[in-house]
Amino acid sequence: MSGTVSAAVHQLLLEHDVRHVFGNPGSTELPFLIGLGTDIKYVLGLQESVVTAMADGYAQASGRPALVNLHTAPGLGNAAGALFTAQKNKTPLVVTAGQQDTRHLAWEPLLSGPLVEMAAPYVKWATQPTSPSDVPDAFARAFQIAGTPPTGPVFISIPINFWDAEAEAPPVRRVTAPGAAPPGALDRLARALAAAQNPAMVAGAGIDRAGAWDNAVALAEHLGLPVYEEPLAPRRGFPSGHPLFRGVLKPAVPMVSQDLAGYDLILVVGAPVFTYYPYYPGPQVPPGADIYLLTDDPADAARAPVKEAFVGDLGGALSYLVTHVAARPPTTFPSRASEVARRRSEAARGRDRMTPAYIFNTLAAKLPEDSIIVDESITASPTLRDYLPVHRPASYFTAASGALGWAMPAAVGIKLAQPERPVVAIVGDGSAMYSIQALWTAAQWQTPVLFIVLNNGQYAILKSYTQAFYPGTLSQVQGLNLPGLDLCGLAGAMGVAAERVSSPDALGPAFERGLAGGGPYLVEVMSDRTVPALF
Amino acid sequence: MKIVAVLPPSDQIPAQERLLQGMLKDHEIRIVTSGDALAPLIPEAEILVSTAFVPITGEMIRNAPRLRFLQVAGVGVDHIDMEAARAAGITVANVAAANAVSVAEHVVMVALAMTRDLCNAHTAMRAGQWSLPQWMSRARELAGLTVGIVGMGRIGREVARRLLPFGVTIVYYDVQPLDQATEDELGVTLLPLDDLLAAADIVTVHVPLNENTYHLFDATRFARMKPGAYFINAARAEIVDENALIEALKTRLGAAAIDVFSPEPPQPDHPLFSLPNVILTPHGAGVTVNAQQRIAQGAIQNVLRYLDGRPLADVVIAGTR
Repeated sequence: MSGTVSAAVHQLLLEHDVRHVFGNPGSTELPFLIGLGTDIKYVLGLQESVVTAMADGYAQASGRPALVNLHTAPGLGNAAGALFTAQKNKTPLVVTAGQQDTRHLAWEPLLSGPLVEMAAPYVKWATQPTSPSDVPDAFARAFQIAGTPPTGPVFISIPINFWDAEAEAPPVRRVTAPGAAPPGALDRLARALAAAQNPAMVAGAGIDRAGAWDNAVALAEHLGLPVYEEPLAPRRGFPSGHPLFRGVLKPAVPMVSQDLAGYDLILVVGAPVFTYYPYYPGPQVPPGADIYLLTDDPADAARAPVKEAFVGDLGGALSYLVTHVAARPPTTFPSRASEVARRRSEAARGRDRMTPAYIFNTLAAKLPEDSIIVDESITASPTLRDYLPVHRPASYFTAASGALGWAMPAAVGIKLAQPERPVVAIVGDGSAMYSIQALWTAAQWQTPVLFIVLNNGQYAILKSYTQAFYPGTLSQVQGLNLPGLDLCGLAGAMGVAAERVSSPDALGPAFERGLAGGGPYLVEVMSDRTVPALF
Repeated sequence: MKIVAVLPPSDQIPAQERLLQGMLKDHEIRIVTSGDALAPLIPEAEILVSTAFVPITGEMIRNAPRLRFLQVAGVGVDHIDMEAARAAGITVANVAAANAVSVAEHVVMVALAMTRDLCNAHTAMRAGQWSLPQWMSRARELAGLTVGIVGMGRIGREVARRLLPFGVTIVYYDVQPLDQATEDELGVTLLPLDDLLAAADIVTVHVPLNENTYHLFDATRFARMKPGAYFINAARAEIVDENALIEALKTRLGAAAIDVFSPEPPQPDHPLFSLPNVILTPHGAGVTVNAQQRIAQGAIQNVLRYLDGRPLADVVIAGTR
């Protein structure tokens, strides 16, 4: 049966179990929205970076590609930062933007632009179909490409005049993703692991993305491997309360080398080797160890200066190793009870100033164990990862790109995908202002996200960087302070209940109110202004 | 009433006697400084003010038919035969919090002194030796260390308050855990005793001496401590098996600070005295000038309350006489 392009795409979306489309519409989107029906909900965001980050969160938390509906060149331009983040996050997104009518595109009408060229650097595949009948097929390809490891965003530019043309929905295609690396190759790694005197594992976000937590834990326990978390992990690949967990690597060459010194074999799983931030001279990987990489991303494998990389399904490779390397006798590791004690003492020291340690320790006591943390606390992030351990998969998300403005909208998308789990977004005041409109969507959908804004009145990360790399110059640098922000006022203006916390005793009760559910809630914490030494 | 006070010998005794007689001028006051001097006064005494260095035995209590109120000028009551006092229906009170700050400051002092190896450096310098190399290899910061407080009563809590700002992690053990709000405020975490010993770099003891704490620290417990860890006892000597401590100081511990002995004073050839890694003090942790004043004030005020028929502070045994 023949119908319109629009109807064919709607049908295909339902077949891909798409239930939400995230967008900010313009004229070019109207033909798609007409006839969308009610089985697919349109989640409106008030700026395109907000829209894209919401979809990113939704896709990661649901484990399926999400659909993003943008408007022409300006809309795609606004979304570019969030699209860059989705690429770094390896988030499967099908991003569309409306293009002007092909019949006068050559005259460069208002809002038209080189959409494919604009999107191309940030996506796995970008296309503008040359005829209407190619549009449904482009969607079918887009979902497959986005969702096949290494997952990532794809882009389709759709001229407005194509939607009402005739087309048929293409048949649903099934593609089986590649499996684990071949046994012959993995046997080399198994032999190296068996021969290693002092091996360690670095757990990356890819483990969480691949749903391979249990396999990673099984291998670590099987071999008694101490486990470190990759620097700046956008998701956490290993339970941070596990006795084998040894901490989070810092994003600088000398710090990684120091933490990993003494190991003769380092097995990196599901991570680039490694994500650094400031440049330091010297070898880019820890010297003196053989580094092996398990990844589902050929690009990460190609870039990493490792002894050998194995591309394929992580869970399969990890479980192969469990069955092909003899178990090592268990080793004793420091009790986790002393870790809890360390955090509690540090938190008590920071109580009066409301340091991140105090704030997160207070939050940890209130958080249900199945909570999801969406982190953009920047200078406070190392403390956050320490104080809010993850106990189960898909419990922590942050932007792999280092961009600001991702976490608040992403938290709204995550909550839409995981309505049963408590979701807490923790952001700085600087971060919040990049995507504050996310509160409006949260209010409209009544998504019970707890937004915690750590208001320290500054871009503390830049002050920390200045102190580390340009000592003595901080007083000369303009543009690092953020006076006069009233986050509660902004929340109230968009329909989100909010309160400001200025004294330590008020913090716990505020978190309890925010976690009570029923709708979004914002807690603005007037937090410690001390600039931490991070580098 | 006939009031007898047993005070430590000092040149302050005449002044103290004049003060007490002035304050209690309608009553008969006797001050003694030894058990021998106390014995003949006991049969007539109605109120006894007692300090830890003269034991109040069951025999003394049975020889004191008129004694109704025993005020301890101090915190510990283990020098008193409590069963005999209870059986005789005597009211016993102490001055509970009076030395907590002094003891806590003492713990901070010896913790710093041990982690810097202060006493050996001082001794070496006095002997004309420039001991910087030894200092450099031994001196450590408190920051980052874990302190285990065994006994989280008033003194334990004051120790925690003072050590927390040094950047330490604090764990504690007590048969009566704190409530969570107090744990959060103090930044302290309850651990089973053996886990505490395994986690702590510094262990400091603040439990009372009783049948459950006698030789609480024996060879097994010292063996659970970290190699190189520091041990502080400013509580009671009998909580520690001294032989086990000496052996641990020779084989495992970094250092110890010992304020209490059994008997007191100890023999001059006490084996602890010859060890290089011990800081010794004469049961003085809680006996600062300030604490003595606080104890004297507290004891006198309680005696005055008793004489006035008002409720007493810090009652340990509510008497029936």
